[in-house]
Amino acid sequence: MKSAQWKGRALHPREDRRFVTGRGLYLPNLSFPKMLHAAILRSIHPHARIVSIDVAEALKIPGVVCALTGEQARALSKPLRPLIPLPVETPYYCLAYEKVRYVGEPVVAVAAASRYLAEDALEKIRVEYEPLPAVVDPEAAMKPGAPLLFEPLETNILWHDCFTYGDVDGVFKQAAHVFSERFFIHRYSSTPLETFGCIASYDSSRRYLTLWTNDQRPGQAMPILAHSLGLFNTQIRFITADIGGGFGNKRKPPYLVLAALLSKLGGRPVQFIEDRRENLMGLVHACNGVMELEVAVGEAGRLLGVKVRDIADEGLNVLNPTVHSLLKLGNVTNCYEIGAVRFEGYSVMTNKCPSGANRGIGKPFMCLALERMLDNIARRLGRDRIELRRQNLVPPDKMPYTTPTGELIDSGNFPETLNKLLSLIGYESFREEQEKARSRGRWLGLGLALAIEPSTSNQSSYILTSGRRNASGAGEAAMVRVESDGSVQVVLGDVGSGQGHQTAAAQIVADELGVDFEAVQVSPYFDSLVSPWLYTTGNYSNKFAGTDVGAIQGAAKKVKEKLLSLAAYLLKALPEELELADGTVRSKKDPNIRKTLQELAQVAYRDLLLRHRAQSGHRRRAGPRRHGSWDRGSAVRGVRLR
Amino acid sequence: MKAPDLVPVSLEVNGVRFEGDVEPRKTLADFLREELGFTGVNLGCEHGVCGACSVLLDGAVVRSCILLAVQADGCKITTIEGLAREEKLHPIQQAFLDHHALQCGFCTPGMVLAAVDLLKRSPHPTEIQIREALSGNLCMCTGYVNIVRAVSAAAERIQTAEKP
Amino acid sequence: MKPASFHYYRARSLQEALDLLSGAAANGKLLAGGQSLIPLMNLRLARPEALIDLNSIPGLSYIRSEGNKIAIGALTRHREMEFSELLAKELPLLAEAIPQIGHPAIRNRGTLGGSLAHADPAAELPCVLTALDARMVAAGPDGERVIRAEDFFTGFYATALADHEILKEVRIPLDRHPAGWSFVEFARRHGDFALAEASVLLFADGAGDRCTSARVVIGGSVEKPVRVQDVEKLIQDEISIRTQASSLAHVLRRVEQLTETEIRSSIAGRENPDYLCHLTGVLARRALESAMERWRKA
Ligand SMILES: Cc1cc2nc3c(=O)[nH]c(=O)nc-3n(C[C@H](O)[C@H](O)[C@H](O)COP(=O)(O)OP(=O)(O)OC[C@H]3O[C@@H](n4cnc5c(N)ncnc54)[C@H](O)[C@@H]3O)c2cc1C
Ligand code: FES
Ligand code: FES
Repeated sequence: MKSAQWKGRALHPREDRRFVTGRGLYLPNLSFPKMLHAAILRSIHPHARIVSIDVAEALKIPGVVCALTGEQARALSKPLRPLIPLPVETPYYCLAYEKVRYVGEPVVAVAAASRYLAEDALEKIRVEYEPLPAVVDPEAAMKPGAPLLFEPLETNILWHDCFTYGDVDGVFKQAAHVFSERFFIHRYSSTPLETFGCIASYDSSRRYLTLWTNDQRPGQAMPILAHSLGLFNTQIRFITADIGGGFGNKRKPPYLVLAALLSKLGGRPVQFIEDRRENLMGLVHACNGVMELEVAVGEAGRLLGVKVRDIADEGLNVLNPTVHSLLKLGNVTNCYEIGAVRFEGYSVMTNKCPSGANRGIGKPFMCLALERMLDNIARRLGRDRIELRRQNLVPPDKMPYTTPTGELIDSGNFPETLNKLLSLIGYESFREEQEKARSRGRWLGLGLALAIEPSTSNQSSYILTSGRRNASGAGEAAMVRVESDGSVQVVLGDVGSGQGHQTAAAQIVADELGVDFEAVQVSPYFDSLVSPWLYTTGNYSNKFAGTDVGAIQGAAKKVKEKLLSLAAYLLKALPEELELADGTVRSKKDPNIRKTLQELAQVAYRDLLLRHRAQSGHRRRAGPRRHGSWDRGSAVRGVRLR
Repeated sequence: MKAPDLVPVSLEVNGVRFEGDVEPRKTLADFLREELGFTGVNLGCEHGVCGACSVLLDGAVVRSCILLAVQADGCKITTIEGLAREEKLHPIQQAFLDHHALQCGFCTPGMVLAAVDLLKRSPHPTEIQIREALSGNLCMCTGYVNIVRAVSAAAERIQTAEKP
Repeated sequence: MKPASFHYYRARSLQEALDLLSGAAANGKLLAGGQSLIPLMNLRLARPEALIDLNSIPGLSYIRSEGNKIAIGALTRHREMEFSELLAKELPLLAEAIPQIGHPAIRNRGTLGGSLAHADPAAELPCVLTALDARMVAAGPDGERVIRAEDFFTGFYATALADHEILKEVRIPLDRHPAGWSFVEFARRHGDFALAEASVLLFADGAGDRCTSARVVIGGSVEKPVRVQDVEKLIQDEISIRTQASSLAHVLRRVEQLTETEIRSSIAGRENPDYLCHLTGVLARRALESAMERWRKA
């Protein structure tokens, strides 16, 4: 009998137990002996030259250990490296250097025996500013003569490009109607309940940094940190555990650099935890933006093409600009069959706090604009807004469908989904209700928007701006290990904020190795010293289901192959005659011919000569043999973007 | 700046007595977290708005970030860590598990303790009463629906358990 | 977000607190529930040199009936008032407002005295207690004085309390039982401070069918509780329990308009004054509607 399937079962997330008992492994709950606490003095001006900074009085407070200014940060670190190539190096450090560029920008950091004392110290720091004209509107910031955030760049436009897919000019020429409209979106910020935090412990004797943080994107933070500090990856140990909500907000490499430098100066571990005020004023906002949208429509209401001119207000986001614009390529045609797309995008800096990969990242704006446009088109053509949409949906018989911009929609029945939606909300009866209410003077409305959410492809911006066409936007790593007692350990590259990833991983591995779900331990930690990881490692863009799962399964499969080949040798059978079930590897024909995982593991860990023989003796089994040790399998999964 | 004068406090947390001297400005939340290690007291806003730091003070739910530790002198405090009996979860904790009333879990201790306060006063709460009782506890992940369900289920469970 | 240092005094009697306030802790602040003061201190928007904690003073927390008035001690927590049977019976307007103060956790700590002394224009109690014509008993170095609610709130977060005075008790007259009453507010989220609020009390003659007088007090949108006397007069002139639906509708509309007109000058200078005026007018109308409803039912 094959053991129970764990995949597909609705289980309580095993993470939840520690959350409901108050034992979440959140960053603020960590503490180390002699740890110092950091606080940051922030700019009160949107744009100003820093004339002088005086920290002498602050340092006199007993318990205040050290202070760090932008000048010192510049001496001790390299600028934070942007993810896209810029024409000149921007002097963007973890603290403002020479100028401040938004209200809330870190100017001086102090470390003290407690956060209370650190805040006392901030009150004693004197900063003299010379205010400069500020620009907060992206279109104004693009104009010649606008105040410049970085003078050497000679412009506030960080990036501008235009992409054409299909015969855009042709369809616009032959279109029966062309509609155009301008849209605006405000900034928004999905705000996790736990603020950003990190603890840096720099050991100068080893030139080694250990960093605990709730950064949700270790794969990206690591290289930025290493570059700024002039360290190799091997000189940094980067650890995360439970994250109290992410939403794209938990990505703040400048704070990591800052804490590392303070720890270097103070010679002790330094904790920095944003307070809510800092979080709201300096967090990762979603860009506000302006969009000009043109839609070409054929005689019968067919959507033929779209032209987009998109301006994303990045604030002071020098680190990872362009994402809010370029991710729109993922849903620029939404769920409709539209053959031609021109997309022109701008990333513009203004004197506002940095934007970043906040929830949705540009896609909500794209969807809003196109859907709003469809309502307008329907109204102007005298068409029913639902019928117009239905007519243009990608039909099921065209699945899998590739959009002009290269997004692969692998499956779906969009018309059926629309029908289901309408019946779920009772569209027809709502209409009647609406009529009735209107006759009583009440105006009821019903807004309708269809949306497709592209996920796991968030590196399109990186690929398009770096020119590295063979890069993939999606990859994750996982490691599965059978311990010498037969228990199973899983370590993920992924980090989580309570989505149940550890539970899902255990389900997958339990099935693959034929063991009980409870027998599979999944580490709640990402630890760069232990976890396999990639540039894309982290938790974002719904990537767990699309990517991480494949890595977990791949790793488990490798372990399974090893178990099979060892068992086959010991049982004098062929691997294909065996199966993994009930914590054993056994004969498919006679389940009494078996070896438990524990027995196999003991051979693998102790009887090394036997293991060697088993390994070299069974070369008949299918599939390539990987190098590496016996007890572990790790896998990396990548999805290639076209 | 003058060195702050320390104030003696003595209080009971989760059934264990603590005595010591505290700096007056230390909030109860920081005292519980840093001095006593009850890190289930989460800090989400530090100005009374989010409810993540909720604890029971002599049985009533309060926000420990806007209370001073010195104000808790002579009081009995229950944090989330004090709710489960050994391995056995409090019915509200269990209901949060059963109804998947959480994601990241950062709001959960506060939610659970606010629900304890509610069910003590209103053993049969309506949905509206539950929502009103939890109105001061923000959750950024779940959308509240399952939280309300969990509290309602816990109320029922406690009722049936108490029936002879 | 941590408070600056301060000296902490735990007062054991009102006299000790008064002595501290005019002596050792002259630049200090009184600490009651701390639900307004501590957030301000955490943000370092307030940094008092000293705190005089009132919470250990015995005998400042009570709700009692004293003949033709109810007396409530300054240290009485919102939660105690919320669950008081006496208040529910004698002062239903107050009982209706209290659950709308913040959230249970806030009401478990926040006090009557703290709320009134803090005088947040968006708080419920100043509005309701002005409608109820409450008297504030202030204790000072030279003894006690009584201040009428209408004179107590002097502006945005400002009261008639002198620096060295402590609010000790609130007395609410019971000489006239209202025929109808209502408190309504509008807040962006449940439990938030109100954008606008309205208290309405209707008093009837002996036979009980004419409205002999009314008190209508606006809060939230204005910098301190405002009695809208033109509206009160209109109600008194036009309303009886037998007012026909059509003419009641007419009065309600006028109440809305008149409220807007009366408070417009007090709202000037605030964000979105037109919206706030409109909202306040609507709330005054709704409060009157619901007060009428109760009157009819009684
Ligand atoms: C999240 C949140 C939501 C809230 N929502 C509301 C709401 O919707 N409506 C509302 O009305 N309130 C609300 N509050 C405030 C709450 O009601 C406070 O309790 C109240 O405003 C102040 O009372 P306190 O006892 O906490 O006073 P404290 O904070 O202790 O003191 C406030 C001020 O009053 C002074 N003071 C205190 N007692 C006295 C006294 N006896 N004599 C003289 N001065 C004194 C203090 O020195 C201080 O200046 C909210 C608070 C929070 C944190
Ligand atoms: S941390 Fe105390 S209420 Fe938010
Ligand atoms: S579960 Fe994340 S804040 Fe509530």
